[in-house]
Amino acid sequence: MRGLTTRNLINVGIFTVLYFAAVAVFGQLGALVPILQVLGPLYIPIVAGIPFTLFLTRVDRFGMITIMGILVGLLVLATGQAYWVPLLALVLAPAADLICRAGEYRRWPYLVAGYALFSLMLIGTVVPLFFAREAFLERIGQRHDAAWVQSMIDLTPSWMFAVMLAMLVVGAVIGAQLGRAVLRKHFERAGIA
Amino acid sequence: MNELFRLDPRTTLATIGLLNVVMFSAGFTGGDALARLVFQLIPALLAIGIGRFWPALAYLLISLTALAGERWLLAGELSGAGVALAGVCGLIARLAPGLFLGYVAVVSIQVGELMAALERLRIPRQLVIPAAVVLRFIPTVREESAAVASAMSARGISLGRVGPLTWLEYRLVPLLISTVKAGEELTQAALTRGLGRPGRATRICRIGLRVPDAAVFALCAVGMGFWLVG
Amino acid sequence: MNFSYAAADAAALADFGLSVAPGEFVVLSGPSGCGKTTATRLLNGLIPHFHEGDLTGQVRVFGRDPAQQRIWETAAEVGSVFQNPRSQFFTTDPVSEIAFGCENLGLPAAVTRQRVERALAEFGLEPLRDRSIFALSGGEKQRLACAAVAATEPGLYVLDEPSANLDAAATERLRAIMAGWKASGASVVVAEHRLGYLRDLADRLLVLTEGRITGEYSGEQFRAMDDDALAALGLRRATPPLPPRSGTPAGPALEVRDLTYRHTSRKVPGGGSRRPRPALRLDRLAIPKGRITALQGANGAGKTTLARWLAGLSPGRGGQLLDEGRPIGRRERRRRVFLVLQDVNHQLVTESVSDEIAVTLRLAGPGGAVEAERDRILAAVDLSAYAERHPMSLSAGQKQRLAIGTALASQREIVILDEPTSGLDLAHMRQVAAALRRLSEQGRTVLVATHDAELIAACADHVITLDRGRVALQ
Repeated sequence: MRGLTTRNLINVGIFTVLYFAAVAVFGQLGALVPILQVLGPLYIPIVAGIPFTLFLTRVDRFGMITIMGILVGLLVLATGQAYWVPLLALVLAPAADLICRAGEYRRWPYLVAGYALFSLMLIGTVVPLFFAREAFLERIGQRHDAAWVQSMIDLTPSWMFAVMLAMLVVGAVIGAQLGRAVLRKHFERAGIA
Repeated sequence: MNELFRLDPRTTLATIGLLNVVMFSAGFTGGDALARLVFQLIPALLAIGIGRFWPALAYLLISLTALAGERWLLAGELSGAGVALAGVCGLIARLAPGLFLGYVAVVSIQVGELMAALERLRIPRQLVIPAAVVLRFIPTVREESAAVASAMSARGISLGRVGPLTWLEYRLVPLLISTVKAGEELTQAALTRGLGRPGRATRICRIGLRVPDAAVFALCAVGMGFWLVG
Repeated sequence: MNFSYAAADAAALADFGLSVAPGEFVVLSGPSGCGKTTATRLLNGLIPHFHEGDLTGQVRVFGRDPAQQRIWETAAEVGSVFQNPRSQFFTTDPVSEIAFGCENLGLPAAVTRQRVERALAEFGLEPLRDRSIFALSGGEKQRLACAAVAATEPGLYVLDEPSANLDAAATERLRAIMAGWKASGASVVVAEHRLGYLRDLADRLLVLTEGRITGEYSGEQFRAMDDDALAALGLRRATPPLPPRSGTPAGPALEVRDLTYRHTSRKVPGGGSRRPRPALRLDRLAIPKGRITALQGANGAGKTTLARWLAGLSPGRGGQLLDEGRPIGRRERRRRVFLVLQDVNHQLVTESVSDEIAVTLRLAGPGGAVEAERDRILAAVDLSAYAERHPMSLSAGQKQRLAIGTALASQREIVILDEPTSGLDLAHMRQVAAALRRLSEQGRTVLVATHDAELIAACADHVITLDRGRVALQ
């Protein structure tokens, strides 16, 4: 972290905004169209893969991905989506950073793995839904029989959580490929990558 | 600007943290409900403080309606649709306060204040500089995004005519390129003005805890009190 | 005290040598890509600390080499102002911005406060001290950038095309600021191709071509040059040419009637809830069809607002656009008007120059062979050689011509351009003027919002002057 230059740090700030904007804007779509809410974990890392891969062309030392993760977490906190994303970021972002470093921030499979790990922290945004469900059902359960509550729980099963994690990973892998395609099609030829 | 009072950025940041804890931990009854109500009102108060009356009013209307809706629906006979609606209301009532407080924080905190506040909290510069750039670039990305949108509209490019993938490409690529270029220019200007010099920078920005900060902290304490007592 | 440097940078600068005396005012000029910006970057240390490359030779600024010391050490002695007013402020309020440099250099807080107050007063920024920087005009932002640099009291000021985005009034204020720096005994090096405002200040003019100094003139020699002599060197005129004939044009015309336009306060971030005066109040304004009309006026006169309204991008209260007496509604305007925005970067979206034209042709759907029409348009705007390049890798002048090409491809009969020549050198300005003439030869009605008097002289058939939202002259 000590080796980070001012230029590195400013880049982290700019790409944090771009990454977060992609996540927030396309996450909002889910609030409008219910089906997208379910598909969010798949398509959000796909879209966010474009700014993230462009960011990776500027990463050359340890710390940049870590700091970006922490800041994204804090931005999620500041938009009132609870504290799970920043907590996850404290673990996942340094891990993603280490993987990318193992690939010297250049080798593609490492970068894809790093991005997938980084994307996992987005699961924190749906934790409130699951948390709210528990509390909500507990509240309703006081006036309903156990079977009714159980049927409500079955409607929103907990294995959805595992499915969402898998969707995030798949989305991240696709997003990284998409990002690389856009990199080659535009950013490299435009002289900014 | 009709600013009534100005908070130390540290007060706003601490409020964000506390609000998130309460909104996502407190339940439905007794002290928990009162705690949620208190933290529901705080963002509106902060918005009024910076002179944003109408947004504050709109926020209060939406979030209080959602809260009342949740309570009323759960008190009556429970039908399937009623339960679903109560769930939606409950979610809005928990999410809206944090979202609105985040908006208030972004429009009220100045970059200079944020840097001074974070440095005073002994946060390392590896976090202070990117955090300042984030706050500096949120309006920039919004401006650029609006400019790209109107440029596309001027050229007659619309979602319906080019399809979603191409549309996304036309929207995102110019936005990313122009933002990244603005970032490069910002970096050059910052470097030639000595950003990055080792040792502590002296900040002249007058931040400090004053009466409004104490009042907000007192309100937070009341809310936390309700929650802890239950 | 003396400083000098001699450096050789194979590609951008070759056998370059320059020494600037204390208090001397040096102007670097020449066409785009001549190396004048490179020279400023050697002085403020951005080469090699930001832009990497092969640097041979050495640079001396106040006896030290910016390449050998850390860039923040150079920052204490060299103050830099850049071209783009929007991207060089780091904070969001004027006081923090002026203090920023002093704070980074670790000056005692009391000294910094004193210098901030002095800079606010000296640069006329006192009325703006509580505004958000995002809400300032381009000229105000540039003035703030000067104030912020001056607060660190550098011995050398380095400016890179500082007037590129400014109108005449703001440029005059910039001139006064630079005169103050010269009078205070500081050295000034400015890279520019708009020379008019620097004429009385310059002690020396260096003309660069392809990285080499091809002309060196003393202040007296520079002042003695007439515009033809400057043009022969490929430079912009020092005195603005007279605008061409005005007067109500004969022939068919588009007419704007009774338009009032008020920005909603949200359009100005941080502008607060004050109700601003109308940006536009037009009773009657005529644009001759099939000709080139220049729309001139200072920043804030309403040029951009009018352009956006004409293109149907924003609603205006009660206004009407009449085409030979027939009203054209907003929706029809969106179909018939093509607007080239001030920042073309937002408007060029595809992966190559030829695609940019082809996509527009397909959207416009004129029928016929897209390839043949595309190549014809590329030739018309003189970009055939760049067909496979990415639009964002072009120079500013080439991007403008590409945007004009998309206007041709759109088949729309009314084309509006917003400041197409800001920051362009003489050769590029002339090429843009030629492309505009090509538009009008093909029967398009062209409206150019600009404060570039040379562009107006080079291509306009008719001139309309706006002043604070009203027609001052037409």
